[in-house]
Amino acid sequence: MSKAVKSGTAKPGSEVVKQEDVIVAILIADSFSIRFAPVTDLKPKALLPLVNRPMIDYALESLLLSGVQKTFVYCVAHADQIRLYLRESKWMRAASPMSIEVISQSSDDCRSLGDSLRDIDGKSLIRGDFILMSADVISNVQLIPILEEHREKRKTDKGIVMTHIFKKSFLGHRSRSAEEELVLAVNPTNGRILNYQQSKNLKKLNFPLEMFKEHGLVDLRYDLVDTHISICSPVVLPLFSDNFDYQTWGDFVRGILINEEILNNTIYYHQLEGSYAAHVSNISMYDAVSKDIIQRWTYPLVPDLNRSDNTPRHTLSRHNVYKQPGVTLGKESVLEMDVVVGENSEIGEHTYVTQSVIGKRCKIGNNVRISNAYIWDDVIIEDECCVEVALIADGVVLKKGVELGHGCVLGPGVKLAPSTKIAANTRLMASPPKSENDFETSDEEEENVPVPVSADSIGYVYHRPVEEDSDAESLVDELWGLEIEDETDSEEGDEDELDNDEDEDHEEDLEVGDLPEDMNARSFYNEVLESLQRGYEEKIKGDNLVLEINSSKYAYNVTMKEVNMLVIKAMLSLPSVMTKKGGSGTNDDWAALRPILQHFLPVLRNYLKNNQSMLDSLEALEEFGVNNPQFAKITCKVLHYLYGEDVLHEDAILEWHANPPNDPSAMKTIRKIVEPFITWLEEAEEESSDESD
Amino acid sequence: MPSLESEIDGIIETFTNNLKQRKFKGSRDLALNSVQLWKKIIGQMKWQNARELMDAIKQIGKDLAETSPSETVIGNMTRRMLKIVRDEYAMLQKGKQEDSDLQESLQKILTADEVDFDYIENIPLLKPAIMEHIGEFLTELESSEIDISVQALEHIHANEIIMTIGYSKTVFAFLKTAAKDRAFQVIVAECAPFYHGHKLAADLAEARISATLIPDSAIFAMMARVNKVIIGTHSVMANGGLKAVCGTHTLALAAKHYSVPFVVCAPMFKLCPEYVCSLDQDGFNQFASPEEVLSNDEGMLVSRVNVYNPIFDYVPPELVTLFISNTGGNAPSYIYRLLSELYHPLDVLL
Amino acid sequence: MENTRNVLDFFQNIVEKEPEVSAAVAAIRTLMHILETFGDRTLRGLSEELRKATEEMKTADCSITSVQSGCELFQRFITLTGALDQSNIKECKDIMKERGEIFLRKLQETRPKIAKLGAPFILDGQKILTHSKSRVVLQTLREAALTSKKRFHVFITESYPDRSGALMRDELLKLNISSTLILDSAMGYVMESVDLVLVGAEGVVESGGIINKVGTYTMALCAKEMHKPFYVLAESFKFVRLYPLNQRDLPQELKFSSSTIKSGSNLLDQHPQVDYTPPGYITLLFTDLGILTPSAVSDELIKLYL
Repeated sequence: MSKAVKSGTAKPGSEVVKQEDVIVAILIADSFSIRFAPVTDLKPKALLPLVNRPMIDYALESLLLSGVQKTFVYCVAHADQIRLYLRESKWMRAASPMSIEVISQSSDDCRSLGDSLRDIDGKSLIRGDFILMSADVISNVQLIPILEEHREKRKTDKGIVMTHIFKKSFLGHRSRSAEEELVLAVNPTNGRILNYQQSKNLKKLNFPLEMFKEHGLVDLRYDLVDTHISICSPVVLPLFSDNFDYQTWGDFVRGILINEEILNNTIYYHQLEGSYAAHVSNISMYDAVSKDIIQRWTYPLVPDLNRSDNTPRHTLSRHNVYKQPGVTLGKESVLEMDVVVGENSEIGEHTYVTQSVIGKRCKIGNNVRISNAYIWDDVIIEDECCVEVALIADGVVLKKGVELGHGCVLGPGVKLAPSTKIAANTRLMASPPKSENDFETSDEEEENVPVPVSADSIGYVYHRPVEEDSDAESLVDELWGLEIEDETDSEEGDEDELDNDEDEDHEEDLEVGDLPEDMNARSFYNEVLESLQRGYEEKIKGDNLVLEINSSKYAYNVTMKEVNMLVIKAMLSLPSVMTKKGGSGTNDDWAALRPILQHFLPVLRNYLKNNQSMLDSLEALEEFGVNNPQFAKITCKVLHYLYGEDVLHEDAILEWHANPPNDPSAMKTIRKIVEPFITWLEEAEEESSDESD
Repeated sequence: MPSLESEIDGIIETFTNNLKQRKFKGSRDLALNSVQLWKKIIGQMKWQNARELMDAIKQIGKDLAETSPSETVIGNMTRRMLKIVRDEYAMLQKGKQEDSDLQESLQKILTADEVDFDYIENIPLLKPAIMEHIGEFLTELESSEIDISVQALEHIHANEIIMTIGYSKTVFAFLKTAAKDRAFQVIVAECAPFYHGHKLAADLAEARISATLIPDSAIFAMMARVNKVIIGTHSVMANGGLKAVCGTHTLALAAKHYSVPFVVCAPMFKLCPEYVCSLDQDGFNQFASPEEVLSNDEGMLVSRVNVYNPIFDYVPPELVTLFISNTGGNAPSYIYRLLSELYHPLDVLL
Repeated sequence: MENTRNVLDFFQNIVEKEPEVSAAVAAIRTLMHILETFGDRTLRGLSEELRKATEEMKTADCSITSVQSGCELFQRFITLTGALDQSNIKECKDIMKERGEIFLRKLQETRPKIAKLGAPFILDGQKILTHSKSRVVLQTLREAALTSKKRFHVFITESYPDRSGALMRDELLKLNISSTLILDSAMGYVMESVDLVLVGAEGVVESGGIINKVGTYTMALCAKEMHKPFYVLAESFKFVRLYPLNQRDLPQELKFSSSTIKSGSNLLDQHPQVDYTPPGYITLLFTDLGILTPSAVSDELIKLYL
């Protein structure tokens, strides 16, 4: 358990060594995400091996080398494993200069960084400045000078809350995670952060004008990467406790920046010069950081300089090939470059290994090709397998001739029968996935019976639960292992978009009633409107418009239903927008609207695919009609046209009509107007059903 | 005694951490600290006889060496301690000065069987004798730099042009001592990518010695007008070869080409009894972060280019003219003799 | 006369029946045998007997450099110190026999010691060049391949006139080490692709140079030119008290087999069996006394012969 806090040697400038002068760090040993599933089902992420060493070791080593004297390790998932590991390792030995205390919390109570900090605040463990770091950060930064800098700044700015550490990294760098892209506005003269945005899919950025007016010099930075290390003042913890909605660091920063005038709190940034720090957030970052460690960017946290009581040292040979004692290499086998091989592993004849990590006690057969793969302990790979760009966890057995597609993740204990071929980007686990819903109908059960990926194999496909960000996640996986050429292609695409953006007109003011209440949805609506307007004027293809609308959807976090409704509304309001005059309810309106609808048919078809979306669009139509009486008159024509073009199906229309509308006033207006169309539709249906009989 | 063990563990752990955090400024600092560590350990540890002590020293020494495998000084000091123990034991056992050739030779094959130095006898006077000897050794270490500097006047003459590389405290002291009586010029090669040469040039200028700083690529060009090359080194290997800062081999080859004497200032504690099997051998070279060569910011390049930053270089003994140590000048072919005086052959493999 | 013929027969018996044993060890065993069967009463007579036996063995047709040095060292060894001041000849003989046993035992241990010292110098994936057949080199390669599990390739020169390189190649095949037999003249051709040269020695001279099968000197010259390390593996009993300055300084009986000398033919027409490699071409010597630089050899030699 915790050791008595040793008061550190007096730092230059301080006379009396107080309790607060002990250098304290908090290590959050949970990432609150499931990027590494299914491997993290049984083992905590902090104990996953990174170049044959548990990730938490790197974090603790860098804290030790920085001179931290006390560390709190906060664990949530699989806390008992972390506690056991630390207790048996060299970190908690009596002679260690850094004392460690493990705090654990159950995952029901703690689901985010914010929750964990609130919990720590509740326990009143920290009194002075502290270092906040995530356990999956690998860095060789000397933290004490940055801590000193933080304290110096407090002399001039009493409201300093946090100094967050960033690393400069250009676009296209492999250790720059695509998920965590951010844009910062900073004041380089005093190091303050002025604005913070996550720019994952943004094409446009907005900055408040006051920011530029208040500060003499503002740098807009797109080249900074979050290292997940920060120096925090003691007031950070109460701030988290006061604001229950602060879940992530991003929330915190935004909160601080918004409330700047009220609370006078400021955040500063520190850019690393010549040091290395990276956060292993997902598998492609795992790949990038492993390579950085092997290529020694993280010196002195490298495999040939680190040893613990039970792990012998690696020996370094040319071309960054690291071997632990006891490795047997077969005839003509080649360890080309950037390879790490663990203790007592055997590699067969004519086997080619490059840019990979192999754990302890592995047996690799003959004629195997391994490249860009991360293979953990006790893995058996038999002859003639091909493993490229993969992560293979403990105890996996690949029989003869198995081929893994790019980007596969095999969980612990998976066994694959001979000559199995796995598709790219598959995640396999050893036990069948648990069905989440117990109340399934018999039909659905048949579909969901888990089947091993091939006969005689123990390996079931793991489907990640669909999250809101599911598309973003799959994008990240695809990048893992791709060449940089693909990145430049996407950059070219971005340039085209930028040109288009410059041609955009200024936003139009729209009637208030139409606009959704929510700010996000409103912005989304405006953007869709602009896109559609431009799309119509420049005759842009439907696919591109769909792309634009989709990206706006992610940017503003709107649901599909809202997308459907707002797209319809935007389309319908286009004529009035473009001509800037109200409609007169005559055929002129229809004349203006019809070509628009015709042009956007592919877009409509893309969004109105199933019953529900059609219902939503009809609802939107109705609402629009209620709010714009001029349009109401041509509702019939619109419906008729859309039905004729097979965008709206009769079932949907009839269902919509059958249900009472949300707005009772619609009864009188819209419903009445469309009556004749509905009756015609019903007759037509009877006729058609008669015919089909 | 658990408490004693943990105390010893504590001081070893502190030393290891200081080593990892690179708090020791230079080899001499490291050597002094190692010997002081040994003094504490031998003083505090409970041992019955010399054999027990030697086994413990070997074990601890091996662990320490593993922490930083390219720092040969730690291993050297361990072996020195073992030699001190052996010598003191033999002296007390025999009552006469043990001649230093306890090595295997035909004669000794016979005599060694009779005089079985098991080292298992418990001699109460052994501990104070060892501690005294270690104290003397510490004094010798502390004065090693001065002992080398006093020889400066024999080697540097007026109006000579001396070339050196990087920053060596020994060489700086050497040059400063000579500068008191002679006027000469120094050309310093900057030694990329660490650029320690810059510091030496600045220090020399402050000491009123005329110094010129040149890039490493200009070494060959400037060598024609150089009278002597004087360098420091990290360690001296058993065959007389050097393990010195990266770039020294280039300097040595250029010197050989122009037949310029290549003088190495190395105190005795830098002599290492190990042979260099190969330049790729474990623990010979240390590869630092490539950051100093190519910054990690260079996004596109970093993933496509392998960048290496070796710290050390090997210079074969044929290129070295003279070693100046605290006991005087020696030829590289004589190193084996010095080694036999410093270390016992059975201790070479820890 | 009976005795001398017995000596030679005994010696050659060992050499033929046990090819693993080096000529020097065989000679020493022969001397031990004489010691045991010695009938004379005086120490003087014993020394005389041993000296005559040594001369006799030198007439055999094997490499006599090592025989010469081995026998001399043996004699010095067993007659060391004042423990021989016994009145009883029998006791003297016993002491000498005992020491002889020790000496012989130590000799058996030399090869494994050398192999242990030399194996770390062979790295994974290297190409090694060696000359003719040497049991020490074989032992070292076995140590590197089997114990340290290293993978390497060996080039062996055929080494005319007795083509003993082919025998070496067969031995390596049995150990499953990949090897190539090359022509003696292909030494220069192959030198650029090898990483190190490893040879045995028949004798190590005072200057630190070696006497070995003819062709070794050429190999050393090539290696020096191409900056390849030249390592010599030799047991300590091969240290011989000679100081040749050039090839001509080597004594005739070492250069030519005794039958050639006896036949009386013009030696200028004959091919020498051995040549002398000066110390400047040798990088390191691996002996049971440790790893030595050529300059350290003379010190060791002096200690041996003191």
